[in-house]
Amino acid sequence: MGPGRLVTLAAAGITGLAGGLLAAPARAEQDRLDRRVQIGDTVEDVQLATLGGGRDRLLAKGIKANVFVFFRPEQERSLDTLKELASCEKEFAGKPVRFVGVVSDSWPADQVRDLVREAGTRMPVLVDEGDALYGALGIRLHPVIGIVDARRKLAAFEPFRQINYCERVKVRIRFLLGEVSEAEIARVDEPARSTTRTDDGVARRHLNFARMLHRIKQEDKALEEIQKSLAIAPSAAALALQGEILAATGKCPEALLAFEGALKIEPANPVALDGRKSCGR
Amino acid sequence: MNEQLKIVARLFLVGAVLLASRTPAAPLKTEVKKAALRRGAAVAPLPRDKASRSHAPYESGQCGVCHVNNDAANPGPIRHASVNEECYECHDDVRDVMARKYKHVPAEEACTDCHNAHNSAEPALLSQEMVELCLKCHAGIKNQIAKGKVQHDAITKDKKCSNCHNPHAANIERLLIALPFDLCVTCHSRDGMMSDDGKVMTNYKKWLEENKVWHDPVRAKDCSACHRTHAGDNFRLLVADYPAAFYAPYERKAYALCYGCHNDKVVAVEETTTLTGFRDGSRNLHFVHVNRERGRTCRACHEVHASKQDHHIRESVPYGKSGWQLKVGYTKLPNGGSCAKTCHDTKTYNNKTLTSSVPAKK
Repeated sequence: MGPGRLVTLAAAGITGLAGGLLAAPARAEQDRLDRRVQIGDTVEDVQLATLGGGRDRLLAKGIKANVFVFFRPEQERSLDTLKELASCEKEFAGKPVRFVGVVSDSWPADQVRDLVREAGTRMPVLVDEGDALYGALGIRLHPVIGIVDARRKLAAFEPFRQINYCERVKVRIRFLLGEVSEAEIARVDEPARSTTRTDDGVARRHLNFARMLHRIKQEDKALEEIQKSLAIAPSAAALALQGEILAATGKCPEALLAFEGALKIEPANPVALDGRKSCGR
Repeated sequence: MNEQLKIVARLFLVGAVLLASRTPAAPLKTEVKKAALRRGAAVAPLPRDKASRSHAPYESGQCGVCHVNNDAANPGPIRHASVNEECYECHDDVRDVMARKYKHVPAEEACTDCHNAHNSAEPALLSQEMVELCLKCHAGIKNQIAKGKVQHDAITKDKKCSNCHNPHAANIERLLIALPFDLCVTCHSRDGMMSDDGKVMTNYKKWLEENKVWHDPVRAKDCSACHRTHAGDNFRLLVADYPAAFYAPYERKAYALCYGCHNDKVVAVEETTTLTGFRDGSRNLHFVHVNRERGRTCRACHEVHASKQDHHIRESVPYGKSGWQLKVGYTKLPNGGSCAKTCHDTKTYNNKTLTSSVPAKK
């Protein structure tokens, strides 16, 4: 492993966990220990017997994303993964993406066929005699998905995930197809926290409520709601509405103060500009 | 009439066949009743003495904020044909939330499936207590909680279901607020937390800071790969069987947790040159340790969450009733490794020699 790749792997590790609660461990080093073929390594093509009786290759030529999945029968996660890949096959139909399954020859062929049928996948299934390919790639888990780029470099290695597994795989395929950027991969790997209630949101609720009260001519109550909104998050929109209501009730000096406040935050705020004119400025 | 009866009978038969042909639900997936159970249910105001929380427009008597008439005696219908559009007039931040990828169907269809727009005895104007409300549709989870021997406190404490889920919409599957690990350490990063069986629970934030070799699901922030999050039958809410003791006779089923991802052949086959690096020649040392009457379970040598040593090998193992820690003494070598005198005399293995070190059977 060259120093350049070590740097790349370390950077990838740090990026992958950026924003997390804990500091990133030496992820690249862990990845290296976990398997023999590393991200960026060339994956050697092999030709293996297929479940259907013929022979086929692990990697197809002229393909931007060769996706292989090592799976096994009698494992719920393998079934789930094959089902998800079956839906991926449809999603990437017509694109230069190829899916292939790999299964140990220690499993009875009929049992593998049943599993593949239940999953509904159409991908060719290669039979790994004596787990030779499994051992050569240094894989230790089932299911695991590898994605190889057009230059036959391992672009992604994804062991099973209970959450967002399919998303992680799909975004990496899309990256190889040139459909998304690395930033999108980072977004999928570290999704933004999905809270509902934010200070900004609550401030907006008070402001919107004020608008509703203004609509039904409940101006005093509307001004109270605006104050609540401003106390949480001052905004040009809230100040402009405050000015509008004050102006409508004949309180132009106070209204002008509110309009000026709005224009300090948003100099082109149209409500504040119009309101200022209506109060003679 | 006879014709109608025949049609009903046929429909019943088709339904029965469809039900019978359904694959049984996988253990981690649970039944959800898709019909919105609250649709059409009363959203009328509760009597004042029964409500502890009120919606601001209702509390201030401004019916016209939502209804066509600003008259409590005759408010008339709401101003919008869609309930949600009515709510979004003020709650437009929730419209942004609903733009997320994973949406809760009731939230998409009608806010009033879960909220009483006037008043309530529950936080967030929920129409009933949160867990009861959620479990009305999430029958599978209800079943898990009712039958599980081990319960997760997260369901009943603090924000209950919404400790972990956003009931409106989320960027993560299962409507999770964040990736599982980031949710779990909200609580599991405290010192002195006790489990129901009286054991001190690990402070995982601290543990992971001190032990930098993380198990892959931990690195992936995927605690739910190994732990149930609502309730279950196994200790520590494990999703599948795992021996609780240091020694256990080898049985594939007993290690179902590990074999959810790991290859059981790592332990089951006596010789291999491909399945593991923990071998001397082709003699599979996992088989030697585990596959026996008084086998050493995975935890005898491996830490499951994080360790200081490669391959998640633990530094020491508890010994005796007092839990005295016995150093494992593992050293990684270029072609394998060695374990210093601990459980046995110092032994070294070399996985680059391809000849078997298993004595030939006579």
